[in-house]
Amino acid sequence: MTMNVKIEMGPPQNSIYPIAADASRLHSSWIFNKIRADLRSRLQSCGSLKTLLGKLAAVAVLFLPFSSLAGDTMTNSVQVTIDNFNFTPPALTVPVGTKVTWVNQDDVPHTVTSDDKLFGSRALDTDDKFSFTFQAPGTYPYYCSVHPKMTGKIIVK
Amino acid sequence: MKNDKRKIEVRFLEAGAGHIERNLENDGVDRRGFLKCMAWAGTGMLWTVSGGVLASKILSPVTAVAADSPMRGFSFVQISDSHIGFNKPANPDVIGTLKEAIARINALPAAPDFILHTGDLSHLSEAEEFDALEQLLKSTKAGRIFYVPGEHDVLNDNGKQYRDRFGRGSQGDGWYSFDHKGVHFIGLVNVMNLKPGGLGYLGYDQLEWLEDDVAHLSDSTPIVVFAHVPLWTVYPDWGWGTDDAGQALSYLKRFGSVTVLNGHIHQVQQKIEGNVSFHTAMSTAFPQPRPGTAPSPGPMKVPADKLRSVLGLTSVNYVQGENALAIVDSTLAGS
Repeated sequence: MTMNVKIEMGPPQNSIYPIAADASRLHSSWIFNKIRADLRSRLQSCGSLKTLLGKLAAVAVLFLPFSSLAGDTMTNSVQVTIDNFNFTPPALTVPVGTKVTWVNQDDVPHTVTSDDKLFGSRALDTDDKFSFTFQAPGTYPYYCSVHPKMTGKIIVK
Repeated sequence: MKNDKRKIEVRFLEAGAGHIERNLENDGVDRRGFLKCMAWAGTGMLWTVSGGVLASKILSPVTAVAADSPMRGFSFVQISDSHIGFNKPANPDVIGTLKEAIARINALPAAPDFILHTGDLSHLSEAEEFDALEQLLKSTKAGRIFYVPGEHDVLNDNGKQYRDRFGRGSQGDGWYSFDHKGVHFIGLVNVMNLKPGGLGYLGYDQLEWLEDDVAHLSDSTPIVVFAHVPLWTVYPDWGWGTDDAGQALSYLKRFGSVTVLNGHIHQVQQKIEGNVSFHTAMSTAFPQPRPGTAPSPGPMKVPADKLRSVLGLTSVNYVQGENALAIVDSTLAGS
């Protein structure tokens, strides 16, 4: 009963898979301990900088999927379609760190060109894609430099 | 939804026709003539300059006869929107249809003095597309070919490759002028530095150049301006117009005869305003819908066996008082 109330009234969860996230945290710390122990033994026996760097990279690779599942450095991916000389959706609100991918579904080339030239694609032919990851909050208006009547904006919060 | 689209179309046609009606005493065009004109389709236009007045005729056997008759002045041909590299419905063979247009030019009894290509030579500004167009047009019997860029010719490099190949000796982004047998021709560029939400754009530098370019000419000099995007507002919702065209036209107000030739919209539209005649030409590649009749101005898809008839099906006879402005079209299939 208490548990039910907690779920209904509690703050939004960071992850849409709270149980999986918890499991991954446990898993992460277990792996971390294993690797730390392994590193320590290797440093003692070898001490090679190259091996250390290689191991650190392995640690980073191992940790990335778990940390993103846990939600603290989550990377979203969102798509904007270009169809019938329109960006859809024309205004898109995304969290910081979101990778936005535009896909041209028209028979003619279009571009994705930021008004302040912060980002810009080459001419995208049919089915060509362009991606940009938004790392800072703000409003980013853009247009098609070939057909400037086509405009859109990404709002990063 | 269908009804809405039809309403938009009718409103546009009536607005256009109304404009012509206001100029009835000047040009003799009635609403029926204008509507016929709207439906006109073809592949190339022969322009005849006679006594300072331009007459356009679509290339056809009929035109061949007309061109054979004695005339004061000279002739030239306008082609547009070849889109070499486009390979989708309704025309997977844009090279083939360009070749057919060239064959019609070469079949004229009197070779035109030159050809104007009003832009979108290529589809994606690729080197091989420009190569193919250049090679194909070498087979024309015209003395020279003059170009202006379309937005498809200046992708990815701000038009550098276009200018290196087709704009040698031009100013700025590729604008220039020349005189031919008493007529002053001005090629403008309105596909560069386009502003978000805007239309075609000429820009301050080009406008300054234009004002200076015509300053020395007498009012009686016939002027022909050619540029890719229409220099009059055909349909702003689809970007079919040029934001600062009014400024350019203000420099040409004092001239007795100004003809503006554009492409971009892959269909014939015409308007006469005072001493200025505006015309847009067919594409040699694919048709585009009439304003407001489709969700977007993208290529209009027609069945393969209809392509040539869409490109050149409807005939228009267009007679203007004593200064004949006669337009006769034919299908690309030759009927």
